[in-house]
Amino acid sequence: MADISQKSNMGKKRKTVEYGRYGYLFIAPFFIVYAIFQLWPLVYTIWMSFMEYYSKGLKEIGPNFIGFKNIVNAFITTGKEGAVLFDTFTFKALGNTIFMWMLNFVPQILLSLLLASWFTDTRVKLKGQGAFKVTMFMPNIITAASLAVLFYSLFSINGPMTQLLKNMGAIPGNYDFMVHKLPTQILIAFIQFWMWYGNTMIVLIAGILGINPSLYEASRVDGANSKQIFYHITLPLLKPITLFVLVTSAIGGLQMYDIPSLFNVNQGGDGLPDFASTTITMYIRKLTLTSKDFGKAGAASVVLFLVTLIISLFFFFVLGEKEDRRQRKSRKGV
Amino acid sequence: MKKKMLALALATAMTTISLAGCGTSSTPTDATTNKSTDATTETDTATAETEEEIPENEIIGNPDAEDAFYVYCWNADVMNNVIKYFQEVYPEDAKRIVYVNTGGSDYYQTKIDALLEDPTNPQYPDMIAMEMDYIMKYTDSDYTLPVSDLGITEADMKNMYQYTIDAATVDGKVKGLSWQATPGAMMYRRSLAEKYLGTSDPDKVQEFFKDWDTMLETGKKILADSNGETKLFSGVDDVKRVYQASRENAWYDANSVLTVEDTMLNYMDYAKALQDAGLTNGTAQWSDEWAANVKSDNTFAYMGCTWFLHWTLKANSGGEKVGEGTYGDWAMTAGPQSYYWGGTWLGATAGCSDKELAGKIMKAATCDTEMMKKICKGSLDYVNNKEAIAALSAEGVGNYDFLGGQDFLGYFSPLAEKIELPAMCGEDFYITNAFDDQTNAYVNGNKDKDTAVKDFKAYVVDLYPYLTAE
Amino acid sequence: MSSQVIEVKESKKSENEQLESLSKNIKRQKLFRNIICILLCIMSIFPFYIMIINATRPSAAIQQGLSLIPGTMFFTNISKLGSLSAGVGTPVMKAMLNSLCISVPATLFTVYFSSMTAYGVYVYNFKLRRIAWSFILGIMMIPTQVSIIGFYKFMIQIGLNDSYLPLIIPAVAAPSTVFFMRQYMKTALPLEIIDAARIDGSGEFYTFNTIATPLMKPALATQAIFAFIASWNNLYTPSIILSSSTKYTLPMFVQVLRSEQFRSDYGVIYVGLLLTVLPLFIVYFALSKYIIAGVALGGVKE
Repeated sequence: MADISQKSNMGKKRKTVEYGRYGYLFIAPFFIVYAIFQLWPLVYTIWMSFMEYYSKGLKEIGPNFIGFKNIVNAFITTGKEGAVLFDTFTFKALGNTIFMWMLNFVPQILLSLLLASWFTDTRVKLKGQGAFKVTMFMPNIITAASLAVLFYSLFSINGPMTQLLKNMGAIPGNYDFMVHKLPTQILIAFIQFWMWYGNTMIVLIAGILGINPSLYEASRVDGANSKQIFYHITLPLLKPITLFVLVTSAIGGLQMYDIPSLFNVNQGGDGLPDFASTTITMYIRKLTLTSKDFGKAGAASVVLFLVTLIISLFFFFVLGEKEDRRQRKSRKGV
Repeated sequence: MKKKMLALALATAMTTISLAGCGTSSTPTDATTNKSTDATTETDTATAETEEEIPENEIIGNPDAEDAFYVYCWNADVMNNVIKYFQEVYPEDAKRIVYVNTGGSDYYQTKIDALLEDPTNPQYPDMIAMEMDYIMKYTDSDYTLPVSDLGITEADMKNMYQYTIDAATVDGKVKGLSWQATPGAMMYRRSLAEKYLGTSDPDKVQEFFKDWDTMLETGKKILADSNGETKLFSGVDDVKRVYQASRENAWYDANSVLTVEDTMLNYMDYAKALQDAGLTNGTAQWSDEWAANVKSDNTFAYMGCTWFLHWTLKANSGGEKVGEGTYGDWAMTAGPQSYYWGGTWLGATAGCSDKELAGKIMKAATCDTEMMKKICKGSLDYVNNKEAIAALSAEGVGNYDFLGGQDFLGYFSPLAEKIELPAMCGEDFYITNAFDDQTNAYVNGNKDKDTAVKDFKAYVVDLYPYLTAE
Repeated sequence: MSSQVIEVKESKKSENEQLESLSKNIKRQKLFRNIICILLCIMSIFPFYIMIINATRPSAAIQQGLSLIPGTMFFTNISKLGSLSAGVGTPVMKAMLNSLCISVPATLFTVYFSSMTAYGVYVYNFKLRRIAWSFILGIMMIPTQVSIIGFYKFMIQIGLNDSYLPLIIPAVAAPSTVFFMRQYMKTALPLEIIDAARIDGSGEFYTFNTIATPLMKPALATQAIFAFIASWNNLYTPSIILSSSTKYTLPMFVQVLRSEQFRSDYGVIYVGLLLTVLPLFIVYFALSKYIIAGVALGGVKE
């Protein structure tokens, strides 16, 4: 017995080298599949953005190399008035997407913070928290496509909610949400908000519960009230997790598709009215399947990719810094 | 721990269910093509797939058969108006037909384009239905076969309305045939006409709608007399097809330059006039509300054509016999301008597995006078056969209780003769969609007319890289 | 500093008074917060409630306005849905089955291969380990949507267009699940156990399958739930890849619900929607505790 344990102790260093090759075997499926189904398509997409590559009717034209023309066209329109930066459909769609995301995110994070502070408040203990959380989170799980159609039915010109609002006198008698830009965008943002505030709230609650309880005790001993504790302790310490919520929400928001694509759209799949609810992913899909302009779709994808990249780099930069600082702090403490 | 077990049990149960579902065929991917096996194993599926008037097997067909013959359409039209009758005469051939209804014209093209590119796909279409809005896209390509290849001669086509042949002709080759002709009319509510115009007789009512200006005045009169309850139309775009049918040029010319011709600009003006006078209920064509207004007294009239009469107006009238809903309370008159609307053509694809069968179906449905009489009697569709129409009208088949006894065959017949081929291009469907969006923006006061036209052009040029704006 | 000021101020009041006003204040606060929470819960449920009610009402009644009392047309609407979707190619039950045929294997792939990848990076010390891990972290934020055209074109080229494989196989590479599993392994899987297994002569894959995986069960279950729901709800990729109507998934069936075929009958639309959300309701209320715990865990991981 002693012999064996001695051997294993001795072999420990060797073992890691010996078994190391298994590491490659274990991670191989991930990397192979990733390379084939995501990395190559990404490279291919970028390649297409350099090509003149489209279909006229059912005849395919290209691919012919045209350099940065597609990408430049995604940024700049050259018309009679000269070149205009960002006045392109790619950026219009991107702008719609970001605008609708902001409309949803700002109230979402505020409400979630408020609710999270309520649910973790030890002075004013709320009963039935579990039921509240389960109910508020519920819309998040339900198929977004179904929700979009449901809300469209509720708010269409003769829909039950529209009629209710009309009867209450909140909107004029012949009002139609679907022919106005801002109301359509607000409704889409509202669905997103309604789906996600529960999720964000739960993440924030977990974050607050992760804060060292002795900090709260200490401040209470010092006589701070709930408000002061929230603004001076919870909020600053919650920064990294709020940042995490912000970035994941932003990246998720850029991909917004299910809800706008089934909400207020025409037969060709454009977001109504007048393109206002077309998101960047809807636009890419339209270029891919309807107009079959793969070069332009590639360029739009590259734009989306760049924006995503900037956001995630920002995230890693800011959060990585935080991590370092925290480690340094804890080391100092030790 | 118990809850964990519950979670695990649920997950296992779900896996088993799904495996049981997929289990009827070898792999998950095959399961879907294996429709008939699935249908037999799951009663729910089978009942849901059964169409009331037609026995199940014939409608769905057997996709597993070596000689399966795929027919694609965006709704049940071809099934109900063609294959149903074909099957009565050629039951053996009909057994091979697999009818695929993609469930909506919204994405029909997207779906079949992907399939047409890939002749090895087991679900490759052998025959496709093509709508007027995009027929050119398919006829002006190598994906469809000339009907002469299918054994259909000019003599076979002698009874057709010429415009239906012209519409499918590219470089002198006829590449699609239609079983229907689609003249349009104005369809109005008899009781409302009686109430507000003092007559429901089509010839007298026509006086109130003889041209666009008179129509606008009549609309205002109805609105005033009904205290705002009854609007002339459901939406402004109801009149769109009338204008569109009288276009002289396609959306773009031979040099791929996009133009908006006066006809369409006039439409924008008229739509704006309708809106400003409050003569519509503000619906968009084909929306839920638009369809629902058929059974409501808030809408006086629709602009519709032959198929519209049955499949849209009658279907949404809220009744199946006189006295129910608005059934029997409708009548037709010519309206301000004669026009046509849509139509469905059949075409055989380049990779068609059985040209003989394709020819047989098309001949039966579009050339055979006796068969077309049956189609007309059965589905009341206005068939593309002058001989059949004349005979049926004389028999009194056209007297339609839905229209309060008006003879729709006799009424449409002279209109059909007058139809001239409109200017078309393959992208009509999507370009017209874009035009509608901008017209709506203009009509709703969100932008002025010039901006709307400019934005429309910018949008279309962005969508189709080979087009330029003037 | 400020606390001192407060103390001075508060010392002026008598203790009883202070306590009383405090408890009154707390009670008032509690009532207010409860009301807001209940209103929010109503907001969560209300749309579904209307959906269920309208699924039982005739189309004409729905058009006339809102009602909170169920009608009697539920089964009529269901049978109408059946006859209207005839010939569409994919009735609702078939669509659910199709979705299951994608979601179940995709979920299994995600959890199994993600824990395998995490295990590889966690247990073994190899040359590219750091690079591999940084790579996985780096791609975590890149959504699949950005490469969709390349994906679509590539699938056509290799003949996988219009099949379920492109919707299932990519599930093998799920970076965020890998990340989650590795974080979990740090706390739940001591390396000593693996060493011990090696001494017992267990092969590496055998150790992973029979010793490591059972220890990971709670994490696997959580990730499985999320992977399943994500795959089940996915609309974007299937709507680009699938063209045969017989292959439609449930979210694509919802798309069909908005087409001409169904437009004229509101009751049928609501019934169709009800059927599409029903399975998730059941899953959610059976597993809500784990789902919420999982969401909380996922947030803290950063």
